[in-house]
Amino acid sequence: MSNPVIESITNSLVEIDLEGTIRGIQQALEKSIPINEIIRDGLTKGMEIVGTKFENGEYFLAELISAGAIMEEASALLDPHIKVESVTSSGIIVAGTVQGDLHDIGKNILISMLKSAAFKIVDLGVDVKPEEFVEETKKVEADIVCISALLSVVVPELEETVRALKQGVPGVKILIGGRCVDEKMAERIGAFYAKDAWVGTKLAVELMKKK
Amino acid sequence: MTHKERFLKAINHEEPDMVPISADLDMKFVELLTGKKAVKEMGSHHIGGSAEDSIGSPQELHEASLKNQRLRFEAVQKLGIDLFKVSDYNIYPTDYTPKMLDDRTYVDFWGKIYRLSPEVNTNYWIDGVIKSVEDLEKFVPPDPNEMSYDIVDLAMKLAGDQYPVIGGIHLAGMFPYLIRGGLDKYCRDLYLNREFAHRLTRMVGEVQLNIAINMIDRGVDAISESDDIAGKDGPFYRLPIFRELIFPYIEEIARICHRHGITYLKHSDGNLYPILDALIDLGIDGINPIEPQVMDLEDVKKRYGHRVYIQGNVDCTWVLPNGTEEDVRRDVRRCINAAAEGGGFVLSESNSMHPNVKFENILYYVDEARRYGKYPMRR
Repeated sequence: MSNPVIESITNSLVEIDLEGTIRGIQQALEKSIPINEIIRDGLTKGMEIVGTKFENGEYFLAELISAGAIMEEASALLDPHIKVESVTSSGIIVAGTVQGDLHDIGKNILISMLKSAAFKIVDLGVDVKPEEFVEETKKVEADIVCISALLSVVVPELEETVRALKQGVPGVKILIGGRCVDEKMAERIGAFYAKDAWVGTKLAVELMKKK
Repeated sequence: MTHKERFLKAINHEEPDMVPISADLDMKFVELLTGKKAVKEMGSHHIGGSAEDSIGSPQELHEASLKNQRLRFEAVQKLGIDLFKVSDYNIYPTDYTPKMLDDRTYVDFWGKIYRLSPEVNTNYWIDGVIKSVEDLEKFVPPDPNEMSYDIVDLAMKLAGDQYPVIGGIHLAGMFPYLIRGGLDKYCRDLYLNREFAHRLTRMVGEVQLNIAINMIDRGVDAISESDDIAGKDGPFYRLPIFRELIFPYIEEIARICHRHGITYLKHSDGNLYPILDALIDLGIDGINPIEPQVMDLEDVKKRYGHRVYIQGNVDCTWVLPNGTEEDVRRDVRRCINAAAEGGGFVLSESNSMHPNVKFENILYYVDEARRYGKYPMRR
């Protein structure tokens, strides 16, 4: 039987209730419930339920984004209590929007979701040149590169970035998403495709399992 | 039958002589069709074409907007389409000069920040000025009665009794998240600071509502409201949030339109299925564009065609920019086959004739619509 305090964290997150989630975490800390249990059985479980509701059409973008924002607040509260050695990162991800594209909302939503899944993120921001993606991916030894593109005019730059990464960092997994991208294009240029931030996060977790 | 008669008959769910055609032309195509240079309305949402910028006084911007509206009319005539649009994007406060942040970036009168991209010859929204409750408190919204509506009067005069003038407006569904700096931030506000989201939405909604009323008072023949409230995955918010923040303005303007004997077309990209019933219940008269990647025109016609007219949905993401002549003609026929029978249908592209569309494909689009779109339909 699960702990009622942990359950209250899960339920509050699912109800997109920031105050309730924070209150639950504070109570859990007071009761000395292990951090791993708070994260795994409380927050991560809550996020999974939010994701399922999003997939089922019960929740929409606003709920997904806000749940991600609550996760960020929760992480900030938990960070000082986490012993460095007890933290396991899911992997390292480099993220950015393609050269010529200044729209970062999709990328930011994805980053928020990825953080909640315990990925370490290197955010290159917007309008990122192919060589910057390559250089940073090498430098941080990233497992996955996430590239976002909204405008159809930047498709050639997206293709060039994927080409440069395949050449410069062989073996790195490349995940693309955004309005101008689809499954067919991803297949054609040899990248993975995520139709939204939730699918992207699940895919990133899967890709790490296969490594 | 005049263009106006054709349009009015169609939206009243009757069959005119042929399917009315709409095309929301980027200024690049206006220039190609007219053979004349437009003036870039620096400070406007939308810049296309290749002309010189109109950085300067409010008077210069005003003159630029009137010149461009004349060119749009000429382009509508040359292309042979039926609808003539005048947009609130080109209606400015009389003392408005965009605030330049650097030589490529400016803030408009709503606090939306745009960046010019000369490489692709247009500009894009990138951010908004309201980052906090304090920013909202300091922000002075435009006064809808201190704006120039000369462009609407001009459109009415040019159209005469030949063309329907469509008043393109925005309400509370989109500008709030643009001014806030992004949909992600606005979505967080909805759950983490609902009162802030309310105040921001109310500020925008009330001004935009009055701009729309001022356009209606000048005699436009229909209203077309263009707030994007959905993406490929579905609506941005749950229905109760729409009902609380966005829908009251839609309901109000629908009521005002009906009082003036005109119709209200609701546009939004994305998958609207989860909220379509609720939208129609608000009193909207038409729906556009039925994004072809995520909604089915034939299905929407069957299920909702008796309640609303449909304006859509030739694919402008792949077919119009990249397709062959036959691809374009086939897609036009798909739309007509799916939705034209019985009237209640206006052919349009699935968002706009944006700069990446091939010019010749616009010509094929119109040609096929005229060739294939004759009533009565015998399929």
